[in-house]
Amino acid sequence: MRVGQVASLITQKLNVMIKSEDWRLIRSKRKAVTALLPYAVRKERDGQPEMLDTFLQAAIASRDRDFTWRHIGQYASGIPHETTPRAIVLVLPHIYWGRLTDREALIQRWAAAASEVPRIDEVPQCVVNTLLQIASQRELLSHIPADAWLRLTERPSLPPNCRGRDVGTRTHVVRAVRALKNIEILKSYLLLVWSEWNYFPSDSFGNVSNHGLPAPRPLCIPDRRVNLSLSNSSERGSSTLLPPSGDNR
Amino acid sequence: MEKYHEDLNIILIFVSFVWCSGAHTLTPSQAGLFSAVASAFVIEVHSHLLKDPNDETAALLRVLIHKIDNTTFGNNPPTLPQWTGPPKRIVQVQAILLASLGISLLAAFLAMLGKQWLDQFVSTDMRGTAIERSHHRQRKLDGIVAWYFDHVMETLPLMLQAALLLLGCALSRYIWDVNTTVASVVVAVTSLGIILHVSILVVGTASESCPYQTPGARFLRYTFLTTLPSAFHSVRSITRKLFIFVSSKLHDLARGTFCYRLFVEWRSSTVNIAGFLRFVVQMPSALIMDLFFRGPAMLVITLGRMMRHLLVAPVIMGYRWYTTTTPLMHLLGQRAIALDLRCVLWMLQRSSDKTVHLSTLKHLATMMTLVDFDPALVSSCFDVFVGCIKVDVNHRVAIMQGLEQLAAESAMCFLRTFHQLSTVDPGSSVLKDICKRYKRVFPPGVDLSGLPFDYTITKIHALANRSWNPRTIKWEACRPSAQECISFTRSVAEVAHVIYWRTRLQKVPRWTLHFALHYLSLDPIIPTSAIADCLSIIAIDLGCDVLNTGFAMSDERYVRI
Repeated sequence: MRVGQVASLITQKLNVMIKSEDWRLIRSKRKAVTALLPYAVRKERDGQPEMLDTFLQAAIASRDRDFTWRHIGQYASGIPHETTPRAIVLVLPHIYWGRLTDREALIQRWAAAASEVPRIDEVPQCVVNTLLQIASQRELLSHIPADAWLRLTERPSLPPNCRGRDVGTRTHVVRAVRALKNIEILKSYLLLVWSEWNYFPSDSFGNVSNHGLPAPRPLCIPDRRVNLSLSNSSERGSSTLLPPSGDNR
Repeated sequence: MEKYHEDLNIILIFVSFVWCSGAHTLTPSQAGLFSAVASAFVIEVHSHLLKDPNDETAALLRVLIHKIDNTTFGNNPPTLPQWTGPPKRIVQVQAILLASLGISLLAAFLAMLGKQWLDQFVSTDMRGTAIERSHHRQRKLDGIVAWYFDHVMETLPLMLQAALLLLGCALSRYIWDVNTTVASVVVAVTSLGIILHVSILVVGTASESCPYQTPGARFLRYTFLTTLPSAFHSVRSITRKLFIFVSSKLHDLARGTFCYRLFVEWRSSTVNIAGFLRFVVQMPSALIMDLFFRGPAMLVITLGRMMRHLLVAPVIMGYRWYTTTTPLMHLLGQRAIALDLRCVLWMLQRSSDKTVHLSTLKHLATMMTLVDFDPALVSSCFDVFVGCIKVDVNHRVAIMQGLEQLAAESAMCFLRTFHQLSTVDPGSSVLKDICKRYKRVFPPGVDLSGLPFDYTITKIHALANRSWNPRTIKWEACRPSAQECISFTRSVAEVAHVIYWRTRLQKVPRWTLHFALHYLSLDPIIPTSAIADCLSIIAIDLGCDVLNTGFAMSDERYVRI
């Protein structure tokens, strides 16, 4: 009874903070909100997803890609087995993978959860976000299941302050995507991460020029804002940035 | 209570032979010392208030003798005197004597009532559990404080002193007209008594540690302590009004200067380096212009105003913020908790029964919060804990047989109070004393591994040896038992609560949030009340007002935004 009262009070308070759109205030309380996460995950498992949804909304409203507190890493590394796939999929994008332990097992759990969760609402976005974050850790690349990359083809809209989008342009990620030898995945990948806020390191396409193709243009275009979520932008991106199919590998 | 009983007995012996309690009897020689003395003088003086028939008889005899032999009285024939009432001096003396007697009898009346009040207080007119009875007793004790029973009791000796003073004055005045020499002795003794009493009063008021304390001295000290701050407040209020008046006048004067205009313009604009540099560059020219056109005095006034804005205004703003954010309303419900805590302390201190200790400590453990508890509670918990364990020659700690439960409860209560006191008031003398005593009982290298409440005793040991640093502690180092977990989460929640409101940083300590995160992450999950406490830490940090009613069991915590 008392737990329920305090929990409902916290949810209510967080909703007030989210509605006020005061991202500074939410950021200042990020430790408290993070401390709430284990309880929210447990409640979600018990069929009460309100607190977890509120947590996710707060994380988004904070406009901070490093919203969660570092101490949550220990919990996330050993996230309970009873946790629902939806919770795993929605929570992991907010965790910094560099501090996690036992990451290989976690990747398997995440991949299994991602395949189970219905692809509605923000799920595709979270999956891709997490995928790119995992891929950004060089030592984890080999542990990503091959079919997980296919989730890139769903091309969900990634917000500008998304960590996956930011770290997903690293050289080894680009090379890993290209190594898949799937033009659709590569196209989707570039459409997802390509924006004026990110840039690709110059050596990402090094072996492309070695094949006699023109050197790739820098993808950071300051005066040009592209909405990557739109389908028509994919045509423009593919025609401008990618070499003809079959010659780019 | 015993002291008051004794005082009232003395007053009644001193004042009157009236005795209120049938249980006590006094011999006539003991009773009514003062009233008997006063009454004797009243009776003596009273005869002078009425017309004396002996005077008239003597006058008539003189007239008769004059009729028989008119040469007896010479040229002064006797006349019959006319009664014009008692002499003014006698009226004054009698009025003072009766006032003295009246005051002393009033004191006796109040003393009689006081004994009835005390008898009623000490009577055990309630049945029930130890907790209920101690609540009842504590409520009565609180009533005595709230209704100023002490002050009423202490006015009785004051009344007696006044009565004695009046008796001395009346006696001096009465004897003075009878015989100056005798009266001088009375006046001297009375004056000596007055001087002595005033001296005692002054000394007792000036120094609290002076052994010659009287009720008057305590009353005067209390008055000074309460009046002086209000007088200071009045002076400060007047000074502030005066300051505002002078400041507004100076503002009006300074407003016309170039410097001040430039300053106001800079302050009202957006803060940036360019604006500041422009202000700095333009200021010398403005100063020169003001010096020429307005004069040096005006320039000094203007600079003073500017300095006030730059230096004093932030201080005032800080003070206002500090005073307006004082969480007065947050103290709701603390009275009930304080009552409980005083009861617990009283029962631990007064009772030596282990069963009573156990039930009391269980009650303490279930209390939702410990608000401003008496540090003596830590010592009491420690005493109970130490009474349950023994340390053998090999420095191995063991629990005495049959006291396992009491040892566990006392350890948890000790940790809870000890932890809170060490966080809230690290410089407390009680804390230092506890640490010393702890080290005597548990010398370095003591083996604590055999105790069933391993988690609790480890934390206690760390606290007592000052090796407790919650910021760097590894919460995952050991897993507490369910009961220990409840107790410890509650203590951490209390610390978070206290520090949040005390520091005005609008944050709980970071380590408490880390603690909450860790405990909420534990699998299998911790008890419900521990979860509630962990969530309370989060709620407090988010700015939710978590009110604790403190009524024993769970499900009684009210929360509101």
